Amino acid sequence: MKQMNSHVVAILTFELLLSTGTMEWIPKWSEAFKSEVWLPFTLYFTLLVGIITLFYYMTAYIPFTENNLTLFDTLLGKYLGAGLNLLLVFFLITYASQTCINGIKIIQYAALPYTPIAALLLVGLLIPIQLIPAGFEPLIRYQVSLFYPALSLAIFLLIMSFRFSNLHNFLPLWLPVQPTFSSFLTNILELLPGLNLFVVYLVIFKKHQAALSLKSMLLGTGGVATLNFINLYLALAVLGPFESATLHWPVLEVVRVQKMASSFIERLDLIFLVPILVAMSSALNLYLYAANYILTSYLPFAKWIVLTITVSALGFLVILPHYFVHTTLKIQSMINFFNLFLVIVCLPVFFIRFLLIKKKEVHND
Amino acid sequence: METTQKLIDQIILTSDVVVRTIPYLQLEIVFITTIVDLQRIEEHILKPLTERARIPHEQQTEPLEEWIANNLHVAKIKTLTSPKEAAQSLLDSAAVICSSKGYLAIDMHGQTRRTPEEPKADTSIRGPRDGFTEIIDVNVSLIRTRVKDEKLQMKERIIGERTKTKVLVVFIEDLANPRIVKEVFDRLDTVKIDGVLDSGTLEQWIEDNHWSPYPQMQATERPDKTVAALLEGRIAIMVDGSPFVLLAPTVMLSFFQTTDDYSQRWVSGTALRLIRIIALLVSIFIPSLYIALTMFNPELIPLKMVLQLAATREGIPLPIVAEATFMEIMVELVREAGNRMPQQMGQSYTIVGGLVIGDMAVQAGIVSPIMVVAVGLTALGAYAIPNYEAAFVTRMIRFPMLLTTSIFGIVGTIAFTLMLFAHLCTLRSFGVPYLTPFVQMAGPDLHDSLIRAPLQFSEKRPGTYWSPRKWLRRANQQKGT
Repeated sequence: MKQMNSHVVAILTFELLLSTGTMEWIPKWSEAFKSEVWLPFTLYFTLLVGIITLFYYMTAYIPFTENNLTLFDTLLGKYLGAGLNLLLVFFLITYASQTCINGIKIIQYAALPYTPIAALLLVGLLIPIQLIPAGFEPLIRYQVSLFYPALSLAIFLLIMSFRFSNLHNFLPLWLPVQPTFSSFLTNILELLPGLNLFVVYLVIFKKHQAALSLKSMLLGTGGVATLNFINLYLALAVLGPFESATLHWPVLEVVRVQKMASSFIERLDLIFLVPILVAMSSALNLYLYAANYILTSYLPFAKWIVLTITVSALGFLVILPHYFVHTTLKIQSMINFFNLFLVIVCLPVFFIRFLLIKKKEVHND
Repeated sequence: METTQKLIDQIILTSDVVVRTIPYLQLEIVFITTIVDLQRIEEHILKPLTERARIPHEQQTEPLEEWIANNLHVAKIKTLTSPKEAAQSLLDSAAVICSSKGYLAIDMHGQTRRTPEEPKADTSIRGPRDGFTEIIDVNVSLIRTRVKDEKLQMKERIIGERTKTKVLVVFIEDLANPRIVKEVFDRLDTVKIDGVLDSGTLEQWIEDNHWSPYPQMQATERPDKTVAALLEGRIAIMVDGSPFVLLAPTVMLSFFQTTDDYSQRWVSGTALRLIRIIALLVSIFIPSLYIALTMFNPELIPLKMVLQLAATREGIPLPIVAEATFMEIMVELVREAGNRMPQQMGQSYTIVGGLVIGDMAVQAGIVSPIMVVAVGLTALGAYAIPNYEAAFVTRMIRFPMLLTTSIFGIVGTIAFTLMLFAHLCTLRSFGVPYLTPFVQMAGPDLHDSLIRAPLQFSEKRPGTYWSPRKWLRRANQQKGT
């Protein structure tokens, strides 16, 4: 049976785009756009669909070779590609560390306030340490087998939490003061961390003969946009834009305030940790696997040494910002910069290269 | 006779090795009295041969070998030339007729044969009542009576340098994936051990990951289950001397499927299967969740219940984790003792252990009544899992889960579950992912997974076991009529 059928591709597209699933962007969006969030969300959705369609056509029509690691070296040549690949590794590990930090913070906030970061990090790393040496297919199995249970539970809890919503919170739909273009761009980019994963995974999919189709990729894209939409509107409907803007995890807070009277479980926030931790561990696996996959190709060491380097770098980046607040801010700004670089510079360059390759093919024919 | 001497040189001459000389015919018959059927030897070999010896030499027109082949009333006769082969046949319950030209091995299996009985470890309510025995030929006949397909293939391997145990690999040629069949033979051929006493030993030599606690092959005593597996494109491995047949490849789901699921209507079959899944979840999670909710997050449960729990725990000196671990170990002790005792006594001991010890522990104030309920539910859940090995692993998994929960609370339970999932995702059975069909999310294969959809839905053979034939399993009756 084919492991990477179109259904699996749709699920992976969803997971690549979802990233951690903790929705830290909601407070920033609420603050920047208030009840007018529908406008940037529409733009986000349009941009997302456009980018995914572009990625699909690039993957479908560009000839890949066994030596290709990412879209960088496939489209931009060996040397420039290698430089960008190593830069990408740094950012992938940084993203992974951010995922870990978010996960640890949310666990400490919701359940274990006094548990040391190192202990939680160690527990979290036991999953990728098992999966990464086993290869790409076990990783995909993990991502796919937990997808529906976690998603169903999350959606059930989110829908339950709509009980106390107030639709007046969505008004006014149009604010007198319009946000700036840069505000739109930076906020939308916060929702696109998965794009850097696509740079790696599209090539891996191709190598594993995944049944890539535009339909399945758009299905995954639509799924992630819908989930983001539900989360955003839940936070706004229950808390309102002003209160949402002041909270770090507004969706968790919304679920937290639910009290299920005359039920065996009265509160749902810890149950909500289940889908959150599944999403986080999925994101961590994807980032670490991608970083390890690129490093393995460049470093002349045994696989276990490369994995040790990757995991140690991650551990360093998780523990370090805890003691240096400025480091955290620096890392955050670097991540934003890389997103910007990817969307503003890389994607147009990819597109031009793609057109040139296509033109050359037509000419040769 | 020289040939007899050469044969005897190959083995150690013990008291049960008999060499019988037939006068006038220049023949000697060698056999081992403890493993052959003496009555059959007397009737079918000695009697005709001695009668022929009485016939005057000039009247014996037919050559002796030809005469034996035509007149002895036996099914299997093998002509052998090498004394080594003859010795092997001798040890494999044959009577060997030694002549000056060579050897004739005649199968005379005579050990006690247990008739097929209802399997003890693999019961069914509506399914057939026969089960495999220790004799491989009987087991083969149980398969053959059910599958009359000309493509049914059986290939033999002899494993065990000293036991020379016969191992049969059974599959249906156009249903089993040739790559998996080859893999099975490759692995069997690499097994170089002194002896195979049971299919369980062989299983551990040929499984994919010997560090995993999960069984990667399914052991069954049921011929109907084996036949169902063959029809799905799986491979059965039979070991002489073991009533358990190994089925490969195996996915986790197959441990939760029973014959009853298919012999009942789909609603009942689905309900049964869901009950087993719930049993699995109860068995793994109940003690951990009890600890997480009472020790770490009592705010999750209603106040009335918290007060009730606190009241039942009043005066209990042990912390909840120690109480849970103590009770879990007690249950395992009772179970193991019940298994080892004679059957009638074991049953009553289990009841005594369960009720009296539990009750006494509560009265003595060592454990709370709610803990007895939790542990009882856990034990019941584990016993509802149809496969012994899967049930055992489930019970054992509880202990590390208890440990992580006692350190990290509900986060520990979730983290341990995810770790377990990660481990299961790395597992394969002869190349087939252990969590198939969930890891591929292939629609048609999910019809027979957590649910058992109406049989009309499963027109295509499932791809779960990588069977090469994916076309219709049966004629499309509804469309045709």
